[in-house]
Amino acid sequence: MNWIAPFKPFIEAQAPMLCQHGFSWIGEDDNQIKFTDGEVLLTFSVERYDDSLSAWVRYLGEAADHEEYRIDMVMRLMDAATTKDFEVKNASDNAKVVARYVTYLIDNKQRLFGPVCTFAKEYEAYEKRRYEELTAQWTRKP
Amino acid sequence: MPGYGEAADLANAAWYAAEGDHLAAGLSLISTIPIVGDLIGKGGKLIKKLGPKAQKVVLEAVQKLDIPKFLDRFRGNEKLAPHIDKISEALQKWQKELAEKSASKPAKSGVSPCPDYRSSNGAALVPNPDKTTTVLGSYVADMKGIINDQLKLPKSVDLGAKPGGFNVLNVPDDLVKNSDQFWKDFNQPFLDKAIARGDDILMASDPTKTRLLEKVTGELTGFGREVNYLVENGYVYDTATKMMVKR
Repeated sequence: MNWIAPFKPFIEAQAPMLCQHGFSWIGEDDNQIKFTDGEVLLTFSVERYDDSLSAWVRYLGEAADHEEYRIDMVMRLMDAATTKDFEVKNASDNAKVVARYVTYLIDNKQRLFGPVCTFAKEYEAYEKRRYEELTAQWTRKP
Repeated sequence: MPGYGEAADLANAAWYAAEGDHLAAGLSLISTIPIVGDLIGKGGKLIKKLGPKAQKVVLEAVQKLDIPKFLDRFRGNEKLAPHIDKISEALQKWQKELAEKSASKPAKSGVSPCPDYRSSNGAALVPNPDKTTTVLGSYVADMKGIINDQLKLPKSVDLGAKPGGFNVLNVPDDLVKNSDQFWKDFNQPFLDKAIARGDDILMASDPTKTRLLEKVTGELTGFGREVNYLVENGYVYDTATKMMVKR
């Protein structure tokens, strides 16, 4: 089954904007659609049996840390976005969220994404803290 | 006989048959089949040396072969004709043994079918020879590659034990209506059975990376639900072994 198909029109709608900024559509499968400008890999992704789209970035240059970061988490950490900003109820919301990912990447590529991602330490610390919160919460459950 | 009939193979077959080695005689006859015959070798000498891909080609071809019908082609050969029934018996026995070996092949205890593979958290795919090894992870990050490229697992609803082998959830897509139904009907029962059996639970993706556990909206992903369920059931992630282990 093609899990990303429901989101493909919204991603395709952003392709011209991405191309204008040096990105090319480099491939797709049932779960992912990928673009790159040679420095950054942008991947739109949907897990199997799921209906939630996420967008990921990975710096490809030399000295890259090979980590793949989720853009919504970067937006929350660096620019005070909230989970509510990514909630989708209809096609219009989906189109807006995909456009938001693309605009954010293009506007912030120089500031955020490079050999040393400026948010990397904060991202790592956030995940550590969040994992501890989640496991504490799950352990407390009856 | 178009496509068959290397004189040397027939001569070999007759010689083996006269010596009483009916299996070698039959394999010499099979070796007259283009491609498959080349892989098997004269008298079956090459088959044990074949790599997994070539063995698969031979196994599939041999398992499809109607041996009595195939051997009918050689009843007109006066040197082979008296031995055809015994050759048929030996080949059918060999065919059955190959099918049995083929069916049990993935469960070769304690040996990884993909020795060089490492998942995104560095886990190696090595099953516990004495237990079922259940493998969990993000589908996109790891399980897709493990299911399709490494273990080459078919779609299945079998949640049973696989001692010495891998237990991976890979149900047919058409049985899944949505993520909640998938969790209730398949994922939770899959984990319940793994927990009840005391499986080794190998994590292909790092469960401490919350980017894999939570969706953009903060709800849990499928992998997140699995980790949640295991933690609720007393498991913790051991970074050294990449397994979820009982506290």
